Amino acid sequence: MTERTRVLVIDDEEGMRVTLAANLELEGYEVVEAADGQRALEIVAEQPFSLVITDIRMPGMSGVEVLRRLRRLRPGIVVIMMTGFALEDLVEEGILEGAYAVLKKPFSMDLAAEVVARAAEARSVLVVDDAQELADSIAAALRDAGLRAEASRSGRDAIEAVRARRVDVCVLDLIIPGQDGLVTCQEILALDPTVAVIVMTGYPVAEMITRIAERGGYACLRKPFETRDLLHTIAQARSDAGRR
Amino acid sequence: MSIRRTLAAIFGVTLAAVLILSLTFAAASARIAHVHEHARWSAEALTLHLQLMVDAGRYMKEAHELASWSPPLGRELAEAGARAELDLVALDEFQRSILAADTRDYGLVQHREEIGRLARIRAAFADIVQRVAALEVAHAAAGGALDAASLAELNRISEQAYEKHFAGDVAEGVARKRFEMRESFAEIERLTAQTRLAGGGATLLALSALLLIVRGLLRTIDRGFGTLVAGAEQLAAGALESRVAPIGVRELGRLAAAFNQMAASLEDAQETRIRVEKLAALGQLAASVGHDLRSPLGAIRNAVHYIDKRLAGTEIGADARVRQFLGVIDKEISASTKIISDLLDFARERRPSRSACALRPLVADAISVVALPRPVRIDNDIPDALPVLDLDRDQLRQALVNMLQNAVESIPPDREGRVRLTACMASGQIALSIADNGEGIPAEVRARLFEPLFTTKLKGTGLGLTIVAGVIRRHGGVIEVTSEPGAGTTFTLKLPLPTARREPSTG
Repeated sequence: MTERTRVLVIDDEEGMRVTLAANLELEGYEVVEAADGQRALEIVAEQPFSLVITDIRMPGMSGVEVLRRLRRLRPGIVVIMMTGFALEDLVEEGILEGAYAVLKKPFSMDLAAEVVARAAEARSVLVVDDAQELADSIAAALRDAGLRAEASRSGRDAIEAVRARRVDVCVLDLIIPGQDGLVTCQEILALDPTVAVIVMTGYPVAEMITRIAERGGYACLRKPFETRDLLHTIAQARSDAGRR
Repeated sequence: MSIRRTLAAIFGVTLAAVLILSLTFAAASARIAHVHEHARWSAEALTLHLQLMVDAGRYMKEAHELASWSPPLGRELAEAGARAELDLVALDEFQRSILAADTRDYGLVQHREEIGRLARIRAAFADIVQRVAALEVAHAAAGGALDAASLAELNRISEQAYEKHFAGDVAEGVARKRFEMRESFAEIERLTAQTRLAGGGATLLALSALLLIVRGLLRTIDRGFGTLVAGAEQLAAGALESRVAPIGVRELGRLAAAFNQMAASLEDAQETRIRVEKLAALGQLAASVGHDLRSPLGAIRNAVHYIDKRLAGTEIGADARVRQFLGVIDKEISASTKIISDLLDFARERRPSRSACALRPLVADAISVVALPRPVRIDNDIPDALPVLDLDRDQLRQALVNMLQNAVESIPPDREGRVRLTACMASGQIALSIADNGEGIPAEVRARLFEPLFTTKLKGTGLGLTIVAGVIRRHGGVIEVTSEPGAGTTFTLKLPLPTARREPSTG
């Protein structure tokens, strides 16, 4: 085995921290534990990590605060959050700050392992829209939030990116030149069923949405939408590891 | 007794009093007018009698002059005769009016006396007139001379008539008339006094009656208001179970009934508030406990996962009991997680994170998750062509799963179970129906269906439909239930169509 992926697990609750760390080690990761945010920042300052899994609610520094400081320290670092609550203000904040995914305790280790594996690959979000400036602006908004994102204006590019395993989420306009969104969606999922295809459209037609859903599309956003809606959907897709 | 009736009684008594007084006065004034007429007549009679006295006196003087004059003048004699004729006519006239007078008011005896008296006076007059006439004839025959004997005879007869009839009868008539006038005035005074007494009495009686009625009314109102005020004070003091006693008066009785109704609904509202507060407190507790349990459950789950993996391929790991128990732990953790999730969903209302969803695949998704205790046919008959809704997919799927689970569990084991999902557009909404052929829901259960912690199941948190109701409410929809006990239940979710948004310039 060559270089193992280094993962930092931050949780003030020992039971969760040690069991998660042990399971991740079983999965083949090199795991370091930290009981609070301060300690975690010290560790990250000294050692390289590509992935951090942090609890959101902790005494002292919250998970979101840890995320912000880690970003300053290591801009490209991928952060997964864990929460006991289904949805709370801190989770909302974390998602807007670009958290990769949110794991809801008690999560299944199988799901967690898959989410972590995909996060470790650090693939991008691809935005496909025939209007280049719109695709660019959406991708830029996602990058501002801290995600890796790229823009493209054709279905062909999208399929190429999936083939190259560069993307794990594809935000797709239904009407794109060359071939329509439905066919593109179908081809992407044929290539890699774990890619989450999020369709966006100004005129959602029931049959179209139904067919996309039946072919494994993850969600459909009605244009115009806010960036936070998209960030939510992306985080949710990644938290589900692309499973509907 | 009602206030309205009492007021009507007061009006009635007043009206009666006024009527009685008016009639009394009318009768009295008629009687007074009659007496007044009688008095006037008496006064006229008196005047006439006085005239008669004057006339009689004149006759006396004339007779005396005639007797003493020498020689007597034929012209004077003729004039005296003419005047006596006129007096006779006046007397006849008076006698006729006496005869015409109503004997009823006057008294028959008095009437007869009067007539007799007048007859006597007339006879005396007639005698004198006759004698004067005889004297005239004699005077003419004698060529202007009359014998002193005839004149002395006339003088004597005149004196006799005066003394016998005029002095007596006329004086008696005058006295009689004076008496009658006095009587009339006394009668008027008596009538006036009587009228005054009757009026005063009637007024006093009416006032007393009114006073009694009004006092009764005021007392009743006072008692009624006293009861109501006491009731209100009790309510204000927090005794919401207190009710006011029935009040006899109709209007106040209605007020009391309304008051009691208000108290009842206040009590209900108070109970509801307490229940809601309790639930809110319970929700807080549930959220807190649930949250605190999630991490330990997670740790246990992770630990079991680790042990499971480490045991894989070992002798212990292959042991049937070990495999079974690891499975039990996993299953029980899942069950615990579900309970905690329900509690948290109930306690913390999540804002929907909406995306455009087609109903049919969403329903298909929910159906695939439902745990079937035995084969039950679930038909997804939702048309493809329905408008796309903006929904929180996870929340709506959870709501559908809860409802489908209920539907499936309501079907008795001996029945071929069937659940059918349909949807249609209805007045700007999408109506999604879930119909089962289960046991149905009795009306008393139906009323409490969405109440938190209410359950008919042996094992159940009683939160399933409460969560469903919350999800539908947060989506701006409503939920309706129809059920036929024994034959099945239909839940209908009515979800609004997405509001028109600004069309994007691109895309």
